[in-house]
Amino acid sequence: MEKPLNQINRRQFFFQAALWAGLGVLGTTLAWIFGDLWSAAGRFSSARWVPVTPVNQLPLEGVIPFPEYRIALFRAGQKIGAISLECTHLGCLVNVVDRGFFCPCHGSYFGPLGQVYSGPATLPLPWHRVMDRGGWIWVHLGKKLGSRQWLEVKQGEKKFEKGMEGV
Amino acid sequence: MIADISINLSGIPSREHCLTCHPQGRAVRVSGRDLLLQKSHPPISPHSIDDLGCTACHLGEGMARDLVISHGRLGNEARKVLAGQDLQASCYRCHDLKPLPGAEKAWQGFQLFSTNACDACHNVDGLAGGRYGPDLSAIGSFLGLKQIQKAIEDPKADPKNSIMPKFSLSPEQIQAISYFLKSRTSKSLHETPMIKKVRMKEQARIRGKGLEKVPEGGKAILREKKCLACHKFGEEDGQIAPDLTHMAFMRGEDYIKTFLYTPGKEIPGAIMPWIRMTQEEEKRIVHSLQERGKEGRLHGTDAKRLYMMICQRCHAAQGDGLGTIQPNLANFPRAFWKNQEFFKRIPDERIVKSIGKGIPGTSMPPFGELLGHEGVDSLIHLIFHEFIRIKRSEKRSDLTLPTPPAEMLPRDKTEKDFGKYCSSCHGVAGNGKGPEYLKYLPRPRDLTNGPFFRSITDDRIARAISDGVPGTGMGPFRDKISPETIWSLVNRIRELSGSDGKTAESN
Repeated sequence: MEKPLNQINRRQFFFQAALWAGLGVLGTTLAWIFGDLWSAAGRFSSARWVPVTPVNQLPLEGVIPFPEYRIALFRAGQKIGAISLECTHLGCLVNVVDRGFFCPCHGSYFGPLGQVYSGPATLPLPWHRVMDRGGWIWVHLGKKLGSRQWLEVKQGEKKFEKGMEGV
Repeated sequence: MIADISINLSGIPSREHCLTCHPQGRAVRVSGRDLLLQKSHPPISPHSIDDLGCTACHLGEGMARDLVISHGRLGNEARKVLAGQDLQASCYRCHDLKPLPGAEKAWQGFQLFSTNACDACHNVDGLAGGRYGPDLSAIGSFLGLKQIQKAIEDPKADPKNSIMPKFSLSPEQIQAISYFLKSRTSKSLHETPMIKKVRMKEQARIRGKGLEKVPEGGKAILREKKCLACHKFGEEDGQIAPDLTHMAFMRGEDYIKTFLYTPGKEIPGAIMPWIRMTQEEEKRIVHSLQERGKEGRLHGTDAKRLYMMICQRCHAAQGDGLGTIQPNLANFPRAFWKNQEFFKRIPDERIVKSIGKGIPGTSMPPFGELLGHEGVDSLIHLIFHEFIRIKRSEKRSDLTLPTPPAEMLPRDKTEKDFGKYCSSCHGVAGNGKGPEYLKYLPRPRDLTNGPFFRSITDDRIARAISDGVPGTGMGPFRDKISPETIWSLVNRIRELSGSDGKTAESN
């Protein structure tokens, strides 16, 4: 008697069911392992987008240092920028001073936009990429940019009307 | 025969050949080609050489093949072999920061580190320090004990432009601090990156809460926030920063509050770090500073005593401006001793005003209220009589200033002139830190000092450029540059200091 093409016997059915279930479990496990690795790689590396602060916490004018991320955020009205706080000489953390940046290790002095005022550093402070997502300022900590990059934030939104009273 | 041991220190594999020359860890003396065994290794239970190896405590390079490298004499002596008492510099590489038998000095060093407010500027991972000075979390991996001691003993030796003040510490105290700092290394032997991260998060939480218990009234809060590690208040003196005894009375509450948050706004170039504090603590600090002011003025005090009480810390007992705290001030205190030329040139009203109203943008506070008219007068008399040694009325008639031209020179020409004549000392940006600024004491004036330049007239700036400032490195430019250039440079300085457009008050 000839077997219909689309029919399988009991033994084959169990075999295939077990095979697919096994493959499914294996795939899920692997996906979970790789997913965990992927997120762990980000967890311990600084080269990624990081939410730094809510936009409405930033003063309308000024420079706010975030030493834990080794950056400072600028705000000039609608424009926001992120500058690296790593000295271009030997990598010390520079201080935000009244007009510009000062490196405590060897006394390099940088202007308000990171330009070199006095050595030993010879290169201006690099900048970082910035974006605005859900009212937070995100900064990409991995890549340093040679040119200045500003993020334009729209004015007239409610979140900007409260200035910096509490900051 | 090479004695080869492998050990594992908290996940860091390490292989060493030290025991080849030092069997069972014994000390060795070299005589010709022979090694003479000296005293044996002291008992170190519960530690053992089999578990820890040698370099975990003694440092050095375990796999090196010659004496110089294996004993770590290269590279700032960061890996120089530690022995004897110095060995306690290694204890806190693994152990938590709490008292340990045998590591008393290192523990004392940790306490000195915090009581002397080192952590107000320097961050050390796990101690939540300030970010004003270089991070010392891994200093032990970069410098040897001797180098750390030298850096604390004379901070301005290297680099020369360092802003770290010289603390009044005994050699023993400096040694103790160096033991503690030597144990701060980049490869932590007791913390994995995960534990480190957890601890830092915990600290951020504790820091956010602020201090639970703030001691009541008086000097306690100043001690708690380590103000007195540098400043003087009453009888307590840190010998590094200005006297705060009458400061709130002289400067007023608003000034103090602004200064606590942005020292550089009131006195550009001030080296005081920003201190983290809650609003409650700030209130208490201002309050305890004001308490003293109520005690009253110093009217009717003898001039010599007054000078020793309020002038001497900056202007020095011998009046040459090299007072105890002078190296830590943003601006050099005016020298009186043998500075006759300077005092012959300035009008008497300016001297009275400087003492009575203070000098904006510098550490000179207004003493008028505190001393009263007679006090100021008697001080000026004393200064002229004892230090300057000329009659107070003896003034030199000045050369006439060049008249301001109808039209200033074009901007790029002025910038060129500034670069040619001024920037070697005052810096291209005018911040007083040009390539040659360290050659001069008094240091070149910071031309970006807004508060200072807002308080002086155009004439005075032009006078300083054309006739120089006696007693400083600033020479006369009258014969070198044209009147138009002088006045264009005055304009340039107004731009740099952000004081253009604002009419300077008349003298």
